[in-house]
Amino acid sequence: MSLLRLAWRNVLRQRRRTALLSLVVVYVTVAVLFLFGFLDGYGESLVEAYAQYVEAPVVVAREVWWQDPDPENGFRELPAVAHPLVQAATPRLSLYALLRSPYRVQGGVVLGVDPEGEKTLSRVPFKVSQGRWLSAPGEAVLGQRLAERLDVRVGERLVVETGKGALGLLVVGLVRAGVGNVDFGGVYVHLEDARRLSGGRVLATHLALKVPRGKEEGVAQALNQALPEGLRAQGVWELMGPIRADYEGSRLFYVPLLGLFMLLAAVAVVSTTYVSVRERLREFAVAESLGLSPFRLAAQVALEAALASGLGLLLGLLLGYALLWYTSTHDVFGPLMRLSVELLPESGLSEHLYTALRPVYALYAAMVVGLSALLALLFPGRLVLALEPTRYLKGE
Amino acid sequence: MLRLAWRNLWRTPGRSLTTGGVVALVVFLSLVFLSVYAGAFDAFFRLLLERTGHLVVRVEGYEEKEDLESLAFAPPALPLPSGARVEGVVEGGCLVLAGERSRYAVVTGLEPAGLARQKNLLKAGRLPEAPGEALLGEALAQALRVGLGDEVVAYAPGGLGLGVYAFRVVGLLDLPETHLEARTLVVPLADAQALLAPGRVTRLEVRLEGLGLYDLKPLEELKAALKPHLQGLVAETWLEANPIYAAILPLYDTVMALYVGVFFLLGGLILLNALYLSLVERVREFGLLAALGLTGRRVMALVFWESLLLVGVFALVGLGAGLLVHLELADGFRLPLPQWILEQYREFGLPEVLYGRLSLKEILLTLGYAVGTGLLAALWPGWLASRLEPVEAMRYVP
Amino acid sequence: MKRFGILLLALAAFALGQSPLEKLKSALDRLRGPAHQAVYALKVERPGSSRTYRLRVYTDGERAHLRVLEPKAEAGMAFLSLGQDLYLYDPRLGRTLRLPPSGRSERFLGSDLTYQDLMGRDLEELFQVTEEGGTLRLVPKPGAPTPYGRVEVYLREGFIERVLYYDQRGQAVRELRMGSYQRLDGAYLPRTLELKDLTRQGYRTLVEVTEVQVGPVPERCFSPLYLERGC
Repeated sequence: MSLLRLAWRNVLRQRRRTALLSLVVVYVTVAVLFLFGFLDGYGESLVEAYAQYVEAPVVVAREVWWQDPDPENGFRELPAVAHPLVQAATPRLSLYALLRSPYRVQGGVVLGVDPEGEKTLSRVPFKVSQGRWLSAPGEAVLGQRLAERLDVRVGERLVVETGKGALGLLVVGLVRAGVGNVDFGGVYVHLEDARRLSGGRVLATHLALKVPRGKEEGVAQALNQALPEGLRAQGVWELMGPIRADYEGSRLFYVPLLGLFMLLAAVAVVSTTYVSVRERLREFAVAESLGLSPFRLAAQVALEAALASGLGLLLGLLLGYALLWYTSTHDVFGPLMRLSVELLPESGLSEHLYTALRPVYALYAAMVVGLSALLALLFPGRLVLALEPTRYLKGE
Repeated sequence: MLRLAWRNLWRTPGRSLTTGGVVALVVFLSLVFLSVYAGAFDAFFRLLLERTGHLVVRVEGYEEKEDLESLAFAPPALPLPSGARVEGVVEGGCLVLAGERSRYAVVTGLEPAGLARQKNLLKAGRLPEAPGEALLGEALAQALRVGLGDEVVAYAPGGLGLGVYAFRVVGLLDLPETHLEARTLVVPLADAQALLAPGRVTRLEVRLEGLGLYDLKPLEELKAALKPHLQGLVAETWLEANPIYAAILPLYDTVMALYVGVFFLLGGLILLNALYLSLVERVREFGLLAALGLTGRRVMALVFWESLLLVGVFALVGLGAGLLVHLELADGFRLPLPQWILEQYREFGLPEVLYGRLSLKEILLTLGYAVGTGLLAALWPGWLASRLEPVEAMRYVP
Repeated sequence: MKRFGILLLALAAFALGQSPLEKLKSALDRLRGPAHQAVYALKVERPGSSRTYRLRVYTDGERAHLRVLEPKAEAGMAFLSLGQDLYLYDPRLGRTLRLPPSGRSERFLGSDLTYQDLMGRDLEELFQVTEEGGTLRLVPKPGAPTPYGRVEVYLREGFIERVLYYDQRGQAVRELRMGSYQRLDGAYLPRTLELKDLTRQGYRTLVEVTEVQVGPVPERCFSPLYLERGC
């Protein structure tokens, strides 16, 4: 305790110096918090987009369908999926079709859904911005941007054609989900209509499962142990398109960079500690001659470095979390994301990005304190360990 | 003064080297990042340019027009400067049929030069050499379950052409973007014209030689020169033809300046620390200098010189190292990321091999930041030093 | 006498109580004509240009087989409509192609005509019929794959005189006009048809029906196998 008090006194003795080096630590701490919050927020926005809008937390389909996603590779009978973490399941039938409005024609993937079942695991039914969600066969709900492109409005008829049949469906709603794939390409029809359009031989192409957040990959793995041969489950990360690479790539790129930032901050802390130790060598010599072990003194130096950087860390955490709180509650990156969605409408990017705010970031940022202490032990600490008290006491 | 400053720096070589190392590292990292980012950005835009040509000629108001009849035009003769080439392209929607399967796709008819440009996208097979031969996006081929040597039929009724045309798949294209690949059918121009619009094109692509990627001025001049010859048509530069991408371009410099600023802010704070420590260690010395008659302003200048010398020397070291690495990068490099990530990056228009680019602008930006950091970091310690009272300072005990 | 009485009764019932659907059916019978073969001359007009085609047509009123006779470049092309199925033979392809159902509503030979205009009974199959002031008003049946919001069929003495197609926003987009009808062995067939694209000025297609021979059409004419060599 006295060691701590002593170290604390020494840190406060040079307030300006401490304040200056704290500034470095504050900056690095804020950078660490913000970048982790941003990266995790980005990851979460992707998981949310794919789990709740574009795909589902877990999807089960026949192995052949994963290779060739054509309705002919769908389910002739629906498989039973049992896992305690599966909270809901709904069949879907996706098929390629020609969408023909009175004015335009375009190809796209139509998703046949059970309107009520879809509500149990997808957010799309709750993002209808005009009209309403599906309730019966003969209806269609479109992504808003797709509807604009096809020039079709709520209450109008859209002809959906496949090689096996054609249906005129009444557009009952437009979805504005803020997720590129849904807004630019979403076509939702009743499962029965999709079955008819696919030739009526399959019931569904895949089964969408709702599982708790964070358990997607685990449940998919567990299911793959139990599912009959020829079926395979995929978790949301596997379902994600190429955009996952951007997220993983960003992490691989920025995390080492943050490590470098922390190292530089620790170097700054240690150079200050170094000066302060050199100034006090005589003081250390006295302490050593009074019986304090050099290791204890070196520990004190390390503690001083830790305390000084800890001060910066505290302030940095305060500022960093305040910044994260703001960016996690305000759509600061909205304009940037909207531009990205326009550029890459089929990547599954969301128009909103809110940073994550997790306590563990404090732990990551605290590494700068540990690193400072360690470096202080290695460099200024060594000065103390190599000290010859008699020389200093003689005033040499 | 300069010599004094230089000597002072080497009185604490450890600290000077560490701080200078940080400065050099920051300059080095900034240059490397700028080179890498510019390389990635260029690759992104080069892909656009390659697809569009330097100038694109289309019918006026093409954005609002949907049907081929109003989009297709008989190509006029254009007075082009020497070295410029013009290629006609026909593009239109069609249903590609193969057995029981069909997909909506965009059929693109290209002249031989245009077809030759597809060579580096060729995943399998060869380029079309005769009428009735086609290149199919690999994803489209998978969806249709066809391969090399198979026949597909393009069905596009309602236009001016035959409305139906059979093609033998001679090559598969691996486009960076899978969603484009899933709707790509590339055929000889004459075939596409027979199918969609005999004798007409939907756009003319003008390509110029020896132009830099962002060299837009000659394009504007050529556009103006062509204008009188384009009745009912409009010429656009490749950037104008891609308005969303054009919107990003002006943001690039700002984003990069901010990015580099993040590094320099850290470097600046570390430098500030070092300068302050060096002041603290030499308070008595500064007091002595003041007592000997050195004015506050001269003391301040000494601190500034020390800072600038430290930053200047090590920034040059960082610059040298950065330029060396840049020379390597300029020859082509792969991002140090796992292969699967690099492959997926292609979806966003980023090739696996990039070529670093550093222009004078980027070097000046980095050096400007370095000098600015040196000046700003010295401001406070310099001010403190200039205000030292000689008597108090000489009595200073840390 | 008894038979005459029944006929009279039937005629009276026909005149007094014919439903809009029945009116449409009998008008479509007259539009499609009896089983016959004929030569249809198509004149496709565009702003500043026009093209002419001659087609040989075989139809039994339900099914139709069309062969292009002229111009030379397109000669030999043949189309076969069998209910929902549509086949196309192109000599350059050298084989017969089954088109997806969407083909039926596509315009063909660069004209304003769709297969539906010349063949089949889509007006009857895809639409619900009501009558307003002597005009048949057709709205799509639920699920019917048609892009139109409404079709108005104007009758004159039981003959279709004009068909007006509306988009779903109430704007007339296509107009099909029939010229006089020719009487053929107790049945009828239009002499001329005119189709206008109302959204684009100067887009018009004229059809003249000539060389009509009424009588049963050999069954092979309705087999895709005979599309290539003709029947």
